[in-house]
Amino acid sequence: MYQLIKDFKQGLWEEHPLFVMILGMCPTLAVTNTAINGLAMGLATSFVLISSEIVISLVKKLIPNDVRIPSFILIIATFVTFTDYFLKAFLPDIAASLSLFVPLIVVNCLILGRQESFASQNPVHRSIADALGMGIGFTWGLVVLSIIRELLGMGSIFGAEILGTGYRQMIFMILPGGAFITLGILVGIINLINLKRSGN
Amino acid sequence: MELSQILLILGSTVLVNNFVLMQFLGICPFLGVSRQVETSFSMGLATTFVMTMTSAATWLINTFILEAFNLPFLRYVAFIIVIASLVQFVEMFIKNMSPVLYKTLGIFLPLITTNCAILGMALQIPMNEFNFIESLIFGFGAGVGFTLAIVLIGGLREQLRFSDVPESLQGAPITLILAGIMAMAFMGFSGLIAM
Amino acid sequence: MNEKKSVQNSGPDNMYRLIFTLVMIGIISGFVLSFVFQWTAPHIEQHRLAAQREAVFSVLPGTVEYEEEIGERVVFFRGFDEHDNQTGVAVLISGSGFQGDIEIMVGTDPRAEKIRGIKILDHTETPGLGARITEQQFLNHFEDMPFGTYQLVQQDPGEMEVEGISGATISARNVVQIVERAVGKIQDYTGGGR
Repeated sequence: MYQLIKDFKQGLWEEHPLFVMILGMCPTLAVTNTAINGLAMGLATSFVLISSEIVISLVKKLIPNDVRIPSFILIIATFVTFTDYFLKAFLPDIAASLSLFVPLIVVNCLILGRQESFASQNPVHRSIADALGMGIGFTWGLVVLSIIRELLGMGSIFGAEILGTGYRQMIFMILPGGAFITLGILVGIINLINLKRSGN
Repeated sequence: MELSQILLILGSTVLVNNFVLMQFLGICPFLGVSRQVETSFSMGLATTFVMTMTSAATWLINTFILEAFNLPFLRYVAFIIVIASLVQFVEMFIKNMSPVLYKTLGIFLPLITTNCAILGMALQIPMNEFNFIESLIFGFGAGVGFTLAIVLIGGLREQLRFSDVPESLQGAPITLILAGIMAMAFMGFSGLIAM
Repeated sequence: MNEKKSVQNSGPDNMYRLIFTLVMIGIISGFVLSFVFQWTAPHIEQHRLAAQREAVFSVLPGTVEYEEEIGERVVFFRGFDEHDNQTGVAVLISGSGFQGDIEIMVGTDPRAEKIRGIKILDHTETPGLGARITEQQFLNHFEDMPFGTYQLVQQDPGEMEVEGISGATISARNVVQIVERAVGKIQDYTGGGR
């Protein structure tokens, strides 16, 4: 049980996929322009991560070592396709906002990375814990980034106007430049926190 | 195939809609492999090579299999198989043909499979309804744009070695901030060419 | 199963086994996905039709039902109100935008040779910038516009002018071009002022 909690916790901060491991960058920059998009992307990615880790952890003994990467990718691609069609059918607005980045979950280095370094070498229950932790970590990272960008860039959070109509929007925050810089500063802040914690 | 059409596609993929700085694709290698200009350039070269071939291969598969038999739901699976296989073949090919080339480019090749720019580029081809030649140019241009971005940031990072970067910002953070400024600069290209 | 386990630990993998594994995964994946496709396709189509319906109703106010007619790379819709009077003719047209294609529903009154309104159905423009072409403020410019060619201006639009969107000049310009093409198609379709 203790092991499971450890597996789960790592993704939340210590081995945070975005801020520490620097994986899964593409969707982070592209789909965090509004909080709802960030949340949706985080959840979609988490779903694919959890399902793939479960499947791969279950079939790991059946997959020959030499083809493991293509096999993982195939399995991940199947879940992504499922997610894409599911969103289009039942949550069309979200599907439209996330558009091209749903299929790109296939090449999200976070998902492939976890299969390679964890799911393919650990039993199912531990893989589930790992995937949950990483997924939640990834999601909160996206949500924080997108709240900042949406608040400064459009004056709202999750669509609710916070700063009022008098607020001059910092459009820059919604643009690519703003995404890069905000993420850079966030990672820098988290690095600072971690450095201070390790008693620098 | 008019020259103007070729220039239009190239201008769009390299500058106006640069895959890295404007479309947020290919960020992982962009951050991970860009410490020096030399490695950046090698990665860019390898990526451009794979991208050009990917555009051709995915166009063929999309036109003659996916659309001919009405199987759009197999697109992601099919494309990623194509990309993974291409990368595998290219790696084996280079290994056998030129050990020297393999030494410079070889190690980057497996990383290219997970470069979201490749899949992203491949998926945009059916969206834009390009013909075969246009797809080739599109893939090539995307690679060139990627190379441009990664070489530029590599150059900047090399210069950073002479600066006093605070410890918390070293590595990814400062690279991201630099990329943000570069992205701003690239925005100046928008409007240059309307696709 | 046991046979597979023992092979795994002995030397380089048999080429056939590699291919077999990949093919098996591919087949299972293909099977699962075709099932997913069949399950979701009707819902996706439903959404598309609902969006189309809503678009026709919004660009041809007063419409309660409509007839569809497929043209060359476009689709025409004749709207009718509850008294069976024609509310206008709309056309669904696609054109290139800044990032990808923009799909627009253009509603017109062919007799008065005016645009009744437009609605953006699909686009892949930059969020926060080009995507602002979907804002009502921009779309309203097209209401009651006479047929013809239009100019994009910074502010205070005149008769045949449309106020642009800051940061979305190209997307806005493309919308104008697509609307102009739509007007042309409608004029051809209705044979000029029917």
